[in-house]
Amino acid sequence: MNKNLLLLVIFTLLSLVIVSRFLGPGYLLSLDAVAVPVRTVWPSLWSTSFFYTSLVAVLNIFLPSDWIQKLLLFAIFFLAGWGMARLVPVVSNPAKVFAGLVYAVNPFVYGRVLVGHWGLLLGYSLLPFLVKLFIGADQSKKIAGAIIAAVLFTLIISIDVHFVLIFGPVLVLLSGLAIRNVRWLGIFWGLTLLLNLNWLISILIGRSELAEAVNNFSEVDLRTFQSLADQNYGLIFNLLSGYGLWAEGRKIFVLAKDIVSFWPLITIVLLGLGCLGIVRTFKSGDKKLKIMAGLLILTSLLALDLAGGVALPSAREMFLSLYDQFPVFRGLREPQKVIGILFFGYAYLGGGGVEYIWERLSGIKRQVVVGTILLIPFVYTPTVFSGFWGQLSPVEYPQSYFQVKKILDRDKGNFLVLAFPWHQYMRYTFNHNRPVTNLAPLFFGSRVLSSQNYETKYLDSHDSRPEALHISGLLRMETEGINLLGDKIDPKPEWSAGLAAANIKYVLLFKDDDWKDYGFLDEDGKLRIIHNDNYLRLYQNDSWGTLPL
Amino acid sequence: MTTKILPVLLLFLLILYVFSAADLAVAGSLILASVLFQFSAVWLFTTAFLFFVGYIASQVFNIHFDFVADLSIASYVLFVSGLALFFIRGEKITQSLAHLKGDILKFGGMVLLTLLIYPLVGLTLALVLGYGGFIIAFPRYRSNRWSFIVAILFLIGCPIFLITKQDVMAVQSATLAYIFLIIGVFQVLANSVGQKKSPKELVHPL
Repeated sequence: MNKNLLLLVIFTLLSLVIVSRFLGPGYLLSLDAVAVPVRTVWPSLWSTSFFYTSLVAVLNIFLPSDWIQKLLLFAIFFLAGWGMARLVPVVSNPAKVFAGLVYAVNPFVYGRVLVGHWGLLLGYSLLPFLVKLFIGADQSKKIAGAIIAAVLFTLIISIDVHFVLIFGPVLVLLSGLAIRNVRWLGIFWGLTLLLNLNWLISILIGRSELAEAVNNFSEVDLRTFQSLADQNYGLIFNLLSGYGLWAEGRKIFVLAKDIVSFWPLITIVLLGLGCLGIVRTFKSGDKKLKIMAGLLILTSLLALDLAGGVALPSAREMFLSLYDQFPVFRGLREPQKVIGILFFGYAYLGGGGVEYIWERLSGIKRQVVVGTILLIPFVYTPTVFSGFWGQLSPVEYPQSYFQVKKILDRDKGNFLVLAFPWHQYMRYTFNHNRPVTNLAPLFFGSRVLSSQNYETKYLDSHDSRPEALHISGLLRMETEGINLLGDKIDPKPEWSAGLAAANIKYVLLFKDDDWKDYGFLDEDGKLRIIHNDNYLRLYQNDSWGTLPL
Repeated sequence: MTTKILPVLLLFLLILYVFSAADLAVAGSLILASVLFQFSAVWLFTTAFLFFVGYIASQVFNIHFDFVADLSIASYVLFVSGLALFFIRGEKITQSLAHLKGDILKFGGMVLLTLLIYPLVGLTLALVLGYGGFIIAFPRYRSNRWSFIVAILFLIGCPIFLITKQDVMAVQSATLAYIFLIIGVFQVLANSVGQKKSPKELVHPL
């Protein structure tokens, strides 16, 4: 069988096995990854995600949202595995397959799927294709490669703008490989700049939501989303193993290392295979491969440094100073994202390591050793199978959601709909009580006012919307008996009048999480229940429109 | 010669007097010297790079020196002047650097690796590992006297850091001086053991 076709089949099958549990009807709701039946809204031209969201919106014309979501999940595993297997400079199939498997199936990818950072993973899965274009650049006389690379990088940035910081330095270093082809590099960087002018201009003229968001980030954000150390093996080893994501401390999902007790050994084997790959490269005498290996060592170390960030005791002050001097770095407030670069190194160099072993062994010994090595990714992260260890399954939105949406859509007035409970992340009963971002604004439309509070130990909120602050104030008066200034309030607030002052006509109470704490709504005579079932309760505010605004 | 040195010195003093900035004074006088003495633009680029490294280090470690205005400005001025000289004279930088290329790459690689290892293992271990990498990359510096020289440099650094009230750096510098002295002693021991085992000496003791 043709080698490329074989790889195509292997990684198609792998991806199908991983997503097979999700092929039935329903939506996958995984913390930040949320899909709703409503069609994707066309993005603003000035948005960083303009290209990607437009692409999804076009797809959404032909395909339902849940299918797009499942295709995306399939693409992450398929593109990561197949792309890396094609990229790695080895001859034997097992070495290629190993590289693809390590890149596609590892604790980093697993964790990010379960916290819903699928955009980040899609960009990660496209990196091998971008690197392949760069590697071939010095000998390419055609400019098509440069154009494709620029479009691909723009798409990756559009999928997740963090890639400017994550892949940008990697591509600057990779430009060294194509330094003799100045025309190619000029076209690539020039076109990339041109294609990204839409959001760069908005930053330059100071009207960028991105710049505003980054400027809001402070040291508290860095502390809240810093990488986590393993209790026994520390921070650096935890990061080297693909762990350390902030969400691991919140026990949101099962960690692969909680199941595989000997995971440190596997990390050491992966590091060893990477070292073997370096030895093979430097023995090969191929200058280009040597430079590539050198670049990967540098980028992996850089990734480890950045991922450690403020959590590294010896460099905490240095990183704080860096974040202070170069505010753009604040965009990486959750630095474990860059560990993907480290796994790129493991896969690329580890593939070389497997090839090294393959070349030096023969017969049954070779089959056994290499066969065992090929099992490593599956043993290291078994939790990607069986529907992510039973933690992800398609769910259907309750019928009552659609009924309430109809009621709200019928009212064409200019008003807001308040969504309670007042949390940014909630556990919905229909989603098997797994935490997920607040669904209300996505499902019920932009008129919904829902919480954007992080509610973490160090960081409560960045929300500066006046209506949201008003609601937070009312809730504080209700629950603690004090206002935002800290003054004691007696009696408790009159909700209907308070909400009317913020132009809130409807209150949507999801019967999830701590919804029973919102019984005070029933005590207000002017909040009338117009829909009530097992999932939702909709109140109409009769005080709305009666107060002078 | 004197007619050329004099304006350089005068410019140095003038800038120092007007701006109270030793960095700008060095930059200005170096640029003038490179014009008068026909230095290669490489020297301006190198100094610009060193000033920039100094600037980054001063920002990262929050170090401030009297009589130093802004190293980044001096670095920029030197760089731009270097570019101007380079194009005016039509210098072949690559030729000037050709014979040093390998060493510069190796040295740059070692510095970069040390900088990247530093956040992971701390300053002391990073410098020791960096030094280890350096003597592997440059065998001609493998002699123990280089370890002692490095130790003395750190020892000299102690009072300087104390004067500039960088107490933490002074302690760090003292620790490193001690570590490099130990490395030097170990190198002496290793060399003497190696010499004792040398078959040449055993075969021809007389």
